[in-house]
Amino acid sequence: MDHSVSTRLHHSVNTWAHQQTRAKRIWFALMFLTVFVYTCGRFGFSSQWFVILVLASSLLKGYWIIAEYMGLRQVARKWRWLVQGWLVLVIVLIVIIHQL
Amino acid sequence: MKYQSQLVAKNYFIAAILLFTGQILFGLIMGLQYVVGDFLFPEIPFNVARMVHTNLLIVWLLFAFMGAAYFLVPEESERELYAPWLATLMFWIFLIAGALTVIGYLLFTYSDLAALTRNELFPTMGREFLEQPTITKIGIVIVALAFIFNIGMTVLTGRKTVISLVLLTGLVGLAVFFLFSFYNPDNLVLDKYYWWWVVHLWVEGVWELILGSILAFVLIKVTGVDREVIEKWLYIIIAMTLITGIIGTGHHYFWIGTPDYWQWLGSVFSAMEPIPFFMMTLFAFNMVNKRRREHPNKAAVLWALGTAVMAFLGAGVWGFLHTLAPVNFYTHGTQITAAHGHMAFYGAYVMISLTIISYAMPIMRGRTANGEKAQVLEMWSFWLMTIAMVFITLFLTAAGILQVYLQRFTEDPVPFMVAQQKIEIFYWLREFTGLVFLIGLVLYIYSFFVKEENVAA
Amino acid sequence: MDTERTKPLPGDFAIWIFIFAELMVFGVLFIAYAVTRSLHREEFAYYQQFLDRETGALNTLLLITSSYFVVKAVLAIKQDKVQQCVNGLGLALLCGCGFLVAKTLEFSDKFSAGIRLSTNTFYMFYLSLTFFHFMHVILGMVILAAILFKARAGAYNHREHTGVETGASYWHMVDLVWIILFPLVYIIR
Ligand code: HEM
Ligand SMILES: [Fe+2]
Repeated sequence: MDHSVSTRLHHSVNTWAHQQTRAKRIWFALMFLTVFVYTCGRFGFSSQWFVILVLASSLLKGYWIIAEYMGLRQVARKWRWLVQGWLVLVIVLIVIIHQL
Repeated sequence: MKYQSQLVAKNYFIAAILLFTGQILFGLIMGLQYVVGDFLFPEIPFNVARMVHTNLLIVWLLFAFMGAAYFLVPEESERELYAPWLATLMFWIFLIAGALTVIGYLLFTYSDLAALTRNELFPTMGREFLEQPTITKIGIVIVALAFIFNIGMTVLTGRKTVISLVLLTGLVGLAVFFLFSFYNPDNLVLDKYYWWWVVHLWVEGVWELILGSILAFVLIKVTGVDREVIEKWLYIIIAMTLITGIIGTGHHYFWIGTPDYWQWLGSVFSAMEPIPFFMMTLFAFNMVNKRRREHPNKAAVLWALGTAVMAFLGAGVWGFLHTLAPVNFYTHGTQITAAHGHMAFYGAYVMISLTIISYAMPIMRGRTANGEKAQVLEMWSFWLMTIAMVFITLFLTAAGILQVYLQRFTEDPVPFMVAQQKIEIFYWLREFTGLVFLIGLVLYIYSFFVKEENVAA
Repeated sequence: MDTERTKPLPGDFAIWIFIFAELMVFGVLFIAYAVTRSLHREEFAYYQQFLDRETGALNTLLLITSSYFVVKAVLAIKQDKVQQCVNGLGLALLCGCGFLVAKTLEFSDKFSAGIRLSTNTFYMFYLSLTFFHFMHVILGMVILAAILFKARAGAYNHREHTGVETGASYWHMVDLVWIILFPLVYIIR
């Protein structure tokens, strides 16, 4: 086998395995955050801080879904900013309106 | 022309343009009656002129849609029309029924017409846009059924494309929602509620499917862009139309006695209705920029792009202007509504009809495109009519803003007729601009009769 | 390797126009909800108690997991692993079905309690927001199912898999919207 082709193939398989692992870690993180926040809610955290915690976790989850699952991490910045800008804008507005 | 039976469309298009002319003439009569109240009284009172104006609009658009379907479906399905004779027969039935109805409007007092056509047996008359005697409505349903049967059989037994399926869905929807014109409950709230299922779900629902598919067809033909790309856009435009437009009906349920929540649902969803219209603009310009060929019919390309822009302006921008409940509270049923209705109907449905006519007529007359001279004339008529419509809209909007202010918004509101007097100047301006529109239309018709040598076959 | 930022948007460009439009629609709905809530604080807080947060949380887990399966399906088709891709899509659809079932039970519970759009402003928002999202889950599942069948027929491979990415992008959007909708309507008081 041509040497350069074989390294390239190896490299791409490696990237692929890496992407697999990464996706799985993100999944764990998303599940963990959801369960964690839910449990906090169960134990009756219902203060302003809890609201911040919930929305912060939504922000983080949304960030991961956009960057990793939708794959916008590898895409030209303007698109990623458009979607993440939407996420930040909506959540910030919700917080502001909530505090009013 | 690929299939002989496409030729049945020609009569439909000719009838459409003739009725269009009638519509504009009655519009001009009414425009004058706005400022010279007794003009043509008692021969043609305002309410009759209005009925003729709006009914002719609907009928000629239906002629144009049917013509468009008869022209494009054989080409999409790659087979002759299922029953060309049926199409021709229906043409004459529809034309005669339409003509008789308009003559009825003009010759009889409306209540006499109702008595004459035995409205009391099955009362459906007396509601805006649906003024037709019940017997005419039944005629429309029969024509529509025969038409859909004919088109449906052609589509289903031929090559199925996204364009022909979307068109068919739109046409079936058109017929189905028209059935609500037979439902005429005594309860005024319910009456209005279902009346909008015809009116709104037509122009902001199923007609948009028809519009989208005709536009997609013409764009494929004049740009040579891959069908796949165009179909994808069509799918997404349609999906967005339905997502926003169906619940968007709520923007007519603010003040008619329906539950409060419609103020929310109607405002939010209808505020999104401009999106599919905006996508249509992006779509048309994208496809024309990516074109793989220079189609000799420049006029048709101009009409297609014009449709995309004007539909967005008229429906999208002018619709959005008054679609939020707090705004509509003041603007409901004013000249703002009239401004929007004019530009939206013209920009979306008149222009798409003229687009397909512009594309198909030369082909049915044995050439790919008209000669230079005819096309230049047609483009002049495009600009005259379109710019005239923009100004009509602007004048009516100005009138509407003043009207809303004087009559509803100030500390001490004035009565309706006092407000009307103060905005008279805009009605005069609108009438003159209407004359410019008529000149555009005359030029348009004249462009069909230009004789030319060396025209590309 | 991770720093390359030159790829085009995954899937068909047209779906992204659609996604942006949808995000706008949901954004406006969320803000409308937030504003109304701040105008009717007591009413909202009172009726929020009666929402079923357990099913809500379960539904979040289901959607996240189905998104993960969709990611696996996309990764698989890039390596020509058609069967893995089909499996991923199938599992994602299964999670979607789970979501629909849970949600239907929740709705029927509310309906049998006599709750309607016109009950009050809170329930109007709750029902229309969640039902609107529900319809999007269905639409997303229709798209995923179409892709599954095409994948099984061998329509995709490592070079040509735009279709898979298109459906995946839409599905993640449905997930993303729920990530905000759930805390907004069910949790925050
Ligand atoms: C091509 C599409 C459209 C056409 C042909 C059209 C036409 C019309 C017409 C003729 C009326 C007057 C109905 C009557 O009261 O008799 C009307 C009313 C209205 N339209 Fe449209 N429209 C279109 C699209 C839209 C869109 C997209 C929106 C919103 C963004 C919209 C918002 C409205 C509203 C709010 C009214 C009620 C006005 C009032 O309260 O008086 N329209 N439309
Ligand atoms: Fe409407």
